[in-house]
Amino acid sequence: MNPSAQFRELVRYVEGDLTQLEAQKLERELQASAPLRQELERVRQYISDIGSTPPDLGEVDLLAGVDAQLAKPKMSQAPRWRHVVGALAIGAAASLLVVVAWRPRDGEFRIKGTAPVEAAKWAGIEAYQVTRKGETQRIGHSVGAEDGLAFAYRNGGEQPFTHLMIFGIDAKGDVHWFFPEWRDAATNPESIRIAGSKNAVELREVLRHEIPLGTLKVHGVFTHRPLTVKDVEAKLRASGPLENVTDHVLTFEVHP
Amino acid sequence: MAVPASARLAEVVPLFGAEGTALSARSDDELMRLARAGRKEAFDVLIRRHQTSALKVAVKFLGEVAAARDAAQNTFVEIYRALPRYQTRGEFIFYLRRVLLNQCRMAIRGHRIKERAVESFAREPSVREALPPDDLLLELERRREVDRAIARLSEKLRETVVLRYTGGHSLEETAQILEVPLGTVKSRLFAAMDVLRAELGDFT
Repeated sequence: MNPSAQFRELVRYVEGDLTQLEAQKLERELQASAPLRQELERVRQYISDIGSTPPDLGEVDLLAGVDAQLAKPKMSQAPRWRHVVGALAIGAAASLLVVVAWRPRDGEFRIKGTAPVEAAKWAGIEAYQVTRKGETQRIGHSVGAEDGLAFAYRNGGEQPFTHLMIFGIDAKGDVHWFFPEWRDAATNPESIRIAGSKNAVELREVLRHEIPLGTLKVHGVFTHRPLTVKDVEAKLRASGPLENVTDHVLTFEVHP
Repeated sequence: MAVPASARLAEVVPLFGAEGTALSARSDDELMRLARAGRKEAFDVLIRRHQTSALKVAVKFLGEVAAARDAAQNTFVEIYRALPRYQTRGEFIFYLRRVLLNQCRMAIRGHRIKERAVESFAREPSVREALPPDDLLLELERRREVDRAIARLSEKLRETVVLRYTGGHSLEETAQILEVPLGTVKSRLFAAMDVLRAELGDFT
């Protein structure tokens, strides 16, 4: 048996992955072979080293830091940036663009588009409403005008996206930026960084915007590079396509 | 159909327990339910219960104590903010690990920690008093090499080997945390060990 195969067999032995017969055979070989026993010791040493951590970690107390973060204002009042757009611009013209209609709350999150981007099949956003009483639930067909909005995303492709923007276009055609937030017209924030995850990853802030009654379309724009708010705004104003993006669209009715 | 978060909030949770059970004796799920019902101190107990193990996993994954502290802290913040949606299935530790791994992945992608991995804590002797200086140096150097090799593993191999050997999770638990089949965990673990052996050779 070559050294590499032997090493793997020893790892399997330590992990209890050998059959009883295989384990008994190996144990006989171990009794007879000092080099094999050394190799077994090496496996155990690796495992011990991987398990070792700085001794003073036990003295670290995260409680104060967690409390400090939780004490920060949870509600962010992002001002709305009005930009009347003639029509929903992110759409069919984009060669790699996938638009997915909102699906019922228990629906699979997978995008069923035909984009050749593998990650697009496994990316999407979820929207939650947070009432004034602090109750949180996934948004179904409608959301209260005074409810806060919170979002989560999934990004489970083999080559997951690295960046995300979430914004809404209301019934009047106004654009509401959720992620990234846009508070200062002099700035030009970029898409937020995201991790690859098959599970929903919650974005931490609850956002409250003045959204008029009627239809609200929320876009989750997934990309492999950061976009800027102004890039997207310009495309929206020009009714031009955003290229090489995956756009997951949720549609709600905003009620009083 | 999933239970709406608002409905779960209505669960009846005995705040003080029929026998006045101490918070520290409560299960993780009981503490989560108490925290959801408004008892922040129940969540504090959860933090204290799991913070060291979370830090160990994060520090081995990220290779930096400061980054690990941030990741672990953000993990508990995220869990607290998601309290209304937590489902009590007796799997809190798996949930915690998944959130932690996500935080670690984001940290790596956001700050290129991988390149700097291992430079910090591997220098800190954990056996300072037990070994004479030369042996101590050799021990530290060996651990540093092992940690560098771990940092070079692919993310999938690294998270598997760290959950198994640093987190102390069984193969089955590791599969549950990573949400992959047991066979996948085994093949990743064995592949990770193969890589470590190839990289480290006879260093030990």
